Amino acid sequence: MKHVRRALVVFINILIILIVVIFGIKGLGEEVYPAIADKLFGVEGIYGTSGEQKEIIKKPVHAEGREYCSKCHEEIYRKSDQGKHNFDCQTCHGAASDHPKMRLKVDSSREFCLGCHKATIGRDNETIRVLHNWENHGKDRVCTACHDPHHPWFD
Amino acid sequence: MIGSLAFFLIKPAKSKDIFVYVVDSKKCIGCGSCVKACRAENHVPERKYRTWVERYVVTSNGELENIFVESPNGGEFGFGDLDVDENEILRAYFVPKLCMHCDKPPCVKVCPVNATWITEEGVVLIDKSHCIGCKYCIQACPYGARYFNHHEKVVDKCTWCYHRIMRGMRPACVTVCPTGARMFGKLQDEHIQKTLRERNIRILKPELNTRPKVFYENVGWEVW
Repeated sequence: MKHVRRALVVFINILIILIVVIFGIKGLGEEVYPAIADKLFGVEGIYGTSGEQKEIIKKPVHAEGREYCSKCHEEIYRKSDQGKHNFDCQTCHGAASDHPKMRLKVDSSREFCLGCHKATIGRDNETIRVLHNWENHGKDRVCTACHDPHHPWFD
Repeated sequence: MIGSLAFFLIKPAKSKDIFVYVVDSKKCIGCGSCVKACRAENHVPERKYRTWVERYVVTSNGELENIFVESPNGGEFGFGDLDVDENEILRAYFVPKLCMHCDKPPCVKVCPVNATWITEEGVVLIDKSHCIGCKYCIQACPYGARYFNHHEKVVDKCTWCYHRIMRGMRPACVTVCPTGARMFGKLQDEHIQKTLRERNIRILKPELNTRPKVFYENVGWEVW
């Protein structure tokens, strides 16, 4: 009986050690990279985490904000700021990556305006002023004939 | 014992100012300017999308709900008309989708070469010079956010415009959104805190325990 008990104690001890080791390794973490184990042993960087992160930050910015446009086009900036079209310039004009060199083109067709203002399933009337009779409203004319694109509604 | 103790003592160093992204589905009009801006900013190849817009239309003609989801060209060129009766529509809305930047990302877990990792700001990035293009992560991602870049032969994904947000700017999609449907900021920011205290905010696929950092406002149960 004594032998059996002793063997059992040894067996349970081994079991406890195994469980502790398994949970310990799990605790150190393989869940995400970099995990604690990687941080402890200083693995971070071997696979380029620190290096590549800095490289990604250096990527050039193609679409700067409204304030960047206002440096030259202050009049339009102020005008659009008062109306509902006070969102970013690039929404319609496209990214201003190398703008002073290259002219920005903006589509002035009816379809371009209707891309946002046409009555569509799923479009909320409270968010945007949708045009229900878009087929007849200002037929055969571009929207910009009457509406100023930067301040589209009449006071 | 020591291992478990170490886990409790040396918890992963999380910076307090992690980034979060909030999408208000009610404000989205499905114009597709975010998809275009993302393509211009990050040189996303044709027919691949880092962010895309889906339209959910729930109809019912006296029976249980029918759900119709579509995303023609990722919503880049807007949405067309549908062959459904207007009176049968229960609810319809647009849902912009992007990488959720999970707190426990399954894509990072499966990468065999550790080419993708989660930064201190909570952004999941890819080391393009180290990726071997095995596409395991594309399969692991439950949100379908990753795509294979056939020009560079690596997997690519939304980075929340990491080069922009580290310069203090907002991501390109947030910048161009005309209605403010997309919101971006640090967790402690006032406008983020205000929306996170709303009741109707939810995350996608919470049952997977990926802890996404993209939150959705005003979306139905059928968004998946």
